[in-house]
Amino acid sequence: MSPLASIFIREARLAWAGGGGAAGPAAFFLAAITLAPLAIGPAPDLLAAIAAGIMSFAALLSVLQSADRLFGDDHGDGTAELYLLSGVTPVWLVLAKVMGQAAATLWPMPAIGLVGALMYGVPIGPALVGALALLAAIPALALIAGFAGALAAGIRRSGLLIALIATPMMVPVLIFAAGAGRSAFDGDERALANLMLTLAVSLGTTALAPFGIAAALRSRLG
Amino acid sequence: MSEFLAMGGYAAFVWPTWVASVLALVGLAVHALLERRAAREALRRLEEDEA
Amino acid sequence: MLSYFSNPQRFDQLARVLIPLFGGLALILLGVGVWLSFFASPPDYQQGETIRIMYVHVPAAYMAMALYAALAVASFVYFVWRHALADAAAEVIAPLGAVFTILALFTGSLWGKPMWGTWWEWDARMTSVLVLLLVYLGYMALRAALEDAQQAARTGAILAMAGIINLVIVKFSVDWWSSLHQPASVIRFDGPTIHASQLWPLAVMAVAYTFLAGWLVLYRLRSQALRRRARTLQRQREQVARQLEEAVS
Repeated sequence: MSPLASIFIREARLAWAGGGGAAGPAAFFLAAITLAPLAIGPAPDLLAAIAAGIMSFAALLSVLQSADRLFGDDHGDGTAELYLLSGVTPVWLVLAKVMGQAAATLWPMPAIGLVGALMYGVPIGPALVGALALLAAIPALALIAGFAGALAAGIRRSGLLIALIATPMMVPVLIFAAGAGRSAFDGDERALANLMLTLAVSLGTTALAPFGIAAALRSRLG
Repeated sequence: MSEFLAMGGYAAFVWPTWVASVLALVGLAVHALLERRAAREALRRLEEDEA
Repeated sequence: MLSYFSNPQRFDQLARVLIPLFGGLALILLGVGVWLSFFASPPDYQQGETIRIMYVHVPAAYMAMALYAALAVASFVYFVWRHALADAAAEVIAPLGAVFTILALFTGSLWGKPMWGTWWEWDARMTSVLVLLLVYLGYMALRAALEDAQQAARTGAILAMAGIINLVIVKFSVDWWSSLHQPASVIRFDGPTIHASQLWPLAVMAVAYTFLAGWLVLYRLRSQALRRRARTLQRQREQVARQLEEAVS
């Protein structure tokens, strides 16, 4: 098996096994979706109108939950150094790591987002668009969280720092992903454009973020 | 003079912005000056101990 | 990396000339700018006396963005050439940028209240400046959290460079986001049709702010050089003390 594939699988297995695996971000997502109406009030029209925004926002926060573990654990026990010495191109290696964790922990998000939107009173069509947008957004969110995690690897109580670093970088994908669901609900014909833009941001992030992550890991080893 | 201060009725908006700006800029300058003095003191003390 | 600061003569020579020059220019231009802002320009046809807020808001916002660009350039120079002065510059610029950003937000809010009727409007420009503040804070927090100076320098540089790429995309996405809803102006004004008599105070204040920022950066760089030299001395002394201990035992 290629080293990259084994890294991907190892990371996925670790994420699945440790801390309830998929339960982490997904549980947080569910909690946030449940709490929001309690804070906002149960007015059906209002909830349906803001559903897309709440789903995207809650998904963004959920992805940040496990950001400190992805590279923090490896930084602490020296695995990061091994990775960089291993001869596998760092850029591909970090991509495999991030995608491994994302695959293991973030796969329920679009489904939960779909159900959540339906619970908020969004019709099935716009709700599906919203879920699709979440799916398109996951690479961007996971890689940005990974980048922030790599920069802050091993810093104690880095959760807040990681959130502060990651949130400005997540602004574009949030705008487009939420915009897709909102446009679908409002019927203002920008849904496809927003969806495409979400995909574009995810692809661009996939192309650029691994370089940043690898550089960050290297800079933290000194 | 009071007409000038009144700023056409917008005094409550215009003056705070200028006061805040002046305070911020002066504050930055003063901080920079104090920072230099502290740095020189610290370095001087270290170099004296060397000698 | 630190060796540059054990012999900072080149920078000292430049600083000795530029610091008084920038400081003097800043003071003069600020004086002229204040006079132009209040006495040599009329109230705006539509905005009335609130136009005078523009003369401190726009320079602050422009400075906030220009300083981040400078931060990114300094970070790039450090990342590629490992020049210690570039890292010191980045470290010094960040808090200045954050202050100008907060100033821009505050003055913008006060300018907006008579214009839009609300203390805050989620329009493209103000939202972008708010995101810029978060970027500055993140950069400063990351550097502060890393105890090793070299790590702080290198990691900070990576974040700053990622930040400038991000800000370009953020600008586009926020424009896109706000384009469906233009805030309703209490005072209707049709965009940047600036009259010549308003352009002068604005330009002078903007240039004044630039020289002031330049003065601040150079002045603080000089202090940074002293601080880093002190840190080197301190570390050398600790090393000698440790070696003595080992020799004794």
